[in-house]
Amino acid sequence: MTGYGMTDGISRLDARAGDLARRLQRDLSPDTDLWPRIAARLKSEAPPRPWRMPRAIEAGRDLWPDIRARIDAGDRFDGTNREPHPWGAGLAAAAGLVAVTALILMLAMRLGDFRLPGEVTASADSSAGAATVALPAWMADTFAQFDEAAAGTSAAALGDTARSVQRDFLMVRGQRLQIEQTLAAYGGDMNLRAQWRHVYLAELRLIDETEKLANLYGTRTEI
Amino acid sequence: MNIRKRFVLLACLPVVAHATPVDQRIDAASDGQVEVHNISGDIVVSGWDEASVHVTGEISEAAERLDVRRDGDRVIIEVVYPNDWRGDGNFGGDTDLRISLPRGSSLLVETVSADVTVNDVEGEQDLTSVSGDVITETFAAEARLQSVSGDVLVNGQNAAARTSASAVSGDVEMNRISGEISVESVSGDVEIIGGTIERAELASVSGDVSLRGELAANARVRADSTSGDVELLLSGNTAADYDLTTFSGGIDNCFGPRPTRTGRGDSGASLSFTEGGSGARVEVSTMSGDIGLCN
Repeated sequence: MTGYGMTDGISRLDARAGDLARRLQRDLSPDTDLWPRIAARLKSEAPPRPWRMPRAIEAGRDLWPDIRARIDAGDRFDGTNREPHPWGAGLAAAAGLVAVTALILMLAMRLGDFRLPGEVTASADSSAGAATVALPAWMADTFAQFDEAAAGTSAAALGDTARSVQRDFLMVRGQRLQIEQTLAAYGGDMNLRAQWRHVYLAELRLIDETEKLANLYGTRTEI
Repeated sequence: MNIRKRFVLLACLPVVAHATPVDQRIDAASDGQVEVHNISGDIVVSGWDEASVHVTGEISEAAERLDVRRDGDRVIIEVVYPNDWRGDGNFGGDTDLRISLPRGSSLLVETVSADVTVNDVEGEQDLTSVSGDVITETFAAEARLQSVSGDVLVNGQNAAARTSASAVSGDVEMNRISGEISVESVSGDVEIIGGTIERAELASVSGDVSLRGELAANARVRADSTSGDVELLLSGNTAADYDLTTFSGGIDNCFGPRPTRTGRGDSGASLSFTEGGSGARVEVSTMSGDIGLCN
């Protein structure tokens, strides 16, 4: 497998997860307690550190995109001071070391704690077969209120939508738990880790859609 | 008033049986923006050569009025409901709108349960529904299409453009689409019948993903599905770096080397190879879904 492929994909998934998380934060009403829970999950369920580290140098990346244009425009050294400064090599090495250290620290600070959630690890260790999946209490309440509000009204089509979201949420969460169980055995598999992000992103999106549906029906206050 | 507040009001409307005909026309810029806000029913939009917006149809009796107004280059079409309306949770019937607008307009439609159908609109499109279907024709401008449980169907002209679509349980189908494509679904299927693909990001969790088209010289294609199958059927140019991997599914390819068994469980495979030398990349990843690659 070429290294650039999977790492590129992971970067894109990370970016999309970040965008979705920010949109969730923006969309949720100020009095909701959902966002802190999501934020906590994003932090606690962040994937293990090795997932994020590239396995190969990306081919063909231009680290200084402007240099060709500058050279072509004549913005170049005149050749009169080509002798290297006696400290040049040392300074360059030190600067490189500082840059690499800063990058590692930045990644570490951004990624935080990479352990799998305790409940999931326990489930995986138990080898008890398929994971049990249930709706979070707040989602179950939302869907129950939604069904009650929609029953017998001309808005019943949206009740079908809510049920499809609920069904998909359970399916997606089930998929995520299965992946996490598999990860317990194959923790180094980059494809699995990318799939974990992919499914978790879908789970976040379904949380987002549930919130939108709840707000559409005014279940927070009107019902 | 945003769509959420409008819907909260409408969720409390009582059952209403009758609808009121509407017929309004307003001058519009040939390349302005038209916004449509409706809750339920049908919205059919067509582009024409006149410099005006014409709205016909009927609004539910629960609605107070149809508001069609112009603000600079924007024309706003909004079904307005009484602020103090309270009822038993009904929409008060459907509001069906037929809208003609300058074909160079950009179009924004927000709805909850209404189906949206758009033809001959050549500007940007931003179409959103929750339970309704979104069906549109696209040209060379960007299109952003969303539904939750409804299907999304796009018919393009093979003009290079940026087209994105998302659904949850609905299917997404795109025909004659070229340029940049981004599609997300959860349980719905994704089917792209494209022209020349420059960039495509296709994702589903349990739905199948299918892409047919030709790769541009530096194309980037990525397709992910967890339990759904992914099928790539490439016509013409197939030169690219390929990176296909499935944890427990299989890979069936018509060109390139045989896939490598990864030895995880009963199946699982990966396949990485370079075909030609175009600089294009094709990446496919699944958990348990099968991967097909043919030309």
